[in-house]
Amino acid sequence: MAAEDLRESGDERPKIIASGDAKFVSPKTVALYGVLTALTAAITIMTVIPFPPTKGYFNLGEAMVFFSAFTFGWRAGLICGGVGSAAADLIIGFGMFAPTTLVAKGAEGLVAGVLGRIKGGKPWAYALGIACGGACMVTTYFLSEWLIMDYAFAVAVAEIPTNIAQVTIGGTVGTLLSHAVKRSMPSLAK
Amino acid sequence: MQALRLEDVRFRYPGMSGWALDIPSLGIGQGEFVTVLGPNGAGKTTLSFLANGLIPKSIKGESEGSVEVFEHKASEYSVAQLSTLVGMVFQEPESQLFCMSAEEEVAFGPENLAVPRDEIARRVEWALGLVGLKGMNGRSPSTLSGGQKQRLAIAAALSMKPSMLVLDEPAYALDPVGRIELYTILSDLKTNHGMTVVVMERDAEALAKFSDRFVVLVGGRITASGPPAAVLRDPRFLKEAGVSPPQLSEVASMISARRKGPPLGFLTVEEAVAEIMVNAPRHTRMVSR
Amino acid sequence: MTGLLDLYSEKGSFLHRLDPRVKLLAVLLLSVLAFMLSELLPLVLLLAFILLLLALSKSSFGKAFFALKFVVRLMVLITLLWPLFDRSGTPVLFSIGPLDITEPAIWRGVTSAVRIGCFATVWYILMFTTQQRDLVRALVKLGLRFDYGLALSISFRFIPTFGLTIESIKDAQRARALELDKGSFIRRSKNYVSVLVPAVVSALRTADTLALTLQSRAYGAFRDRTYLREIRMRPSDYVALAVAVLALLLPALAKYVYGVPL
Repeated sequence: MAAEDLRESGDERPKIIASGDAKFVSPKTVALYGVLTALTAAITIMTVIPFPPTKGYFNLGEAMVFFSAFTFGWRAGLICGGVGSAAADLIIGFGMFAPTTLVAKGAEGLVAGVLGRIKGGKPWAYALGIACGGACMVTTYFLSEWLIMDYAFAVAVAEIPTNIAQVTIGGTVGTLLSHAVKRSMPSLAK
Repeated sequence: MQALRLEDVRFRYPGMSGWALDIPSLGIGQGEFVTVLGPNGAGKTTLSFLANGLIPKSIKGESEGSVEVFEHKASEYSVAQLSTLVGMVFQEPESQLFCMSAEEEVAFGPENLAVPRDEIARRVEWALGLVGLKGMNGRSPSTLSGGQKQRLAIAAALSMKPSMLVLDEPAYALDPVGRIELYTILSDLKTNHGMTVVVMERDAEALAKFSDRFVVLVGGRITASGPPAAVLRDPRFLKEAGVSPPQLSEVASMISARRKGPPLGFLTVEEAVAEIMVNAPRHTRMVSR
Repeated sequence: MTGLLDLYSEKGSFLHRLDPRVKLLAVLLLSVLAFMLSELLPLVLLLAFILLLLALSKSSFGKAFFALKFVVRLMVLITLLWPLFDRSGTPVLFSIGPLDITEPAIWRGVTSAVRIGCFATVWYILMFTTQQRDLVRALVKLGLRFDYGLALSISFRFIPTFGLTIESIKDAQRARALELDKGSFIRRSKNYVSVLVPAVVSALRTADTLALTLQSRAYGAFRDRTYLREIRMRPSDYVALAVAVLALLLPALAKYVYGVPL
């Protein structure tokens, strides 16, 4: 490539472009949602806790869904929870669950974000958010596995206790996480 | 013409008691290579954010005074508009590269500026070539070395064709070789492309031979400004500013303190030899003592 | 770990060259087809077709094995469990205690397992042959707004980075003798919080710098931004799209209009 001067001409004042007309989401939101989505996916993939009682495997992705919802509101819960968890499914090769996950975890994040922040996040509000959000998640997976994927009814039912346990752990970790992070980054606690 | 002109500029972050930056007057000429030295919290980052409008547009606080960029009042334009005049490079390599390939990273700025596709392609090749990353278009930024990452960040700023680059401790995470590579590229941009370069750093030693001017910032105020040799002549002063002075200039000032005649101000081994040789007998005596 | 985080492998199959939009659409169409079919034979044919495509994607043996292990396990599970809970139909083949295992139930189990095999396998074709950034591009081309697409591509970019961060914090906590998977439920939750807090805080700092970087690179200057790389439909893409559409349309016609049992 031929050497090219950066400036159009020697000593002229560099020109400035006309102002634009874009109506995009703010850069802060794009960066925050991108990062929260990545965190949700990364934590889903990286943290698998063996849970002896049911011999099931858990991931802590749930914790990030609740964390996003409680710390940044229902929009973050919906988008980052849904998209992040679905992306994790795609990446680790459970693509068939991705559409269900998008709906299930998105709904969970949305509901938790709406209910969990009532009265500035009282303990009962968190509990309500986790319970109702979790119920949405569990129901969505059950219906999808039973009616769409055509697992045996009983197999789909057998997943329910596992999923409830995951909501309980995820909800607890997510709430504690939200508190701890707000404490170390006071600017978030608005 | 002045590339950057600050008049009575003050800035205070919300909830802080003192001014983060308090500069009655600072001018940086077009085509100048200026290094701003100072310890952590001296206001270097604040100064760099003022240069492209991130302060006060994006980072809120109490702000006074006027900032002009190439005689345009910074307050009248958006950060996106100012980005075509001022290219920014941040300290942390990992968090300023957000694309899946080097090419996309460099193309992102011009794409936002709605530059035609052919022109973007040309700028990508040109900018990658300038920073020594030719042919790495498809590489994922996360697989690059620390030095390559920072050079890619420079290329990503260059592709918007700015007339000034502002870099906030760009060599923070780099090894000595990576630092020199980085500074050499900046120096080349200044010499061959008329780029104005403002580097916020603590590495006075390595930057001395690349810089036209050192500005020392302590507690948000400018405490010294001048040619590197002049600023470095007083290492005690740099130590107060939390900047480690080059060993050679420390040697120069120790020798100067012990003998008569004009003070020595060498910054490189060659200069040291030349200056010391002028009055060799004295020094030989001193060394043998 | 990074290998696990990207199923894509750089190979030159025709599936790699296909427009990502076509691939995404084909996956959805084939999933709908699997959902629609209720007889075993057509489902087996569909699974065979999907496996053929998977073979044509030239994916590495390791990745294909990883994928199929999951699929086969799921299929075996469904085949075994289905007849246990579905006791309808005759003849009863044998009884385990109070459970009657009937022949039709076994076939229904196998059918369901094959269908789930189709659902599960078809996604691998997409993920083995499509780079994550092309997936995002495809979504943007299909109407996802640029800013949302940008957030999505940022998230794909940072998943491995954050994965490594979490991994190193976990190692550090283990080195301090914190046993993550021991103790009561509350104990374990607290242990995990101690791993996640530093990861989340550092990620949020990354988001701050990222926001400044986006602005410094003229994010949001113009609504009609340009793109260096465009994905464009080529004749072969139209052919592939037509094949995928017909693969759903013809059986649907046969089944619902002409009453062919499929």
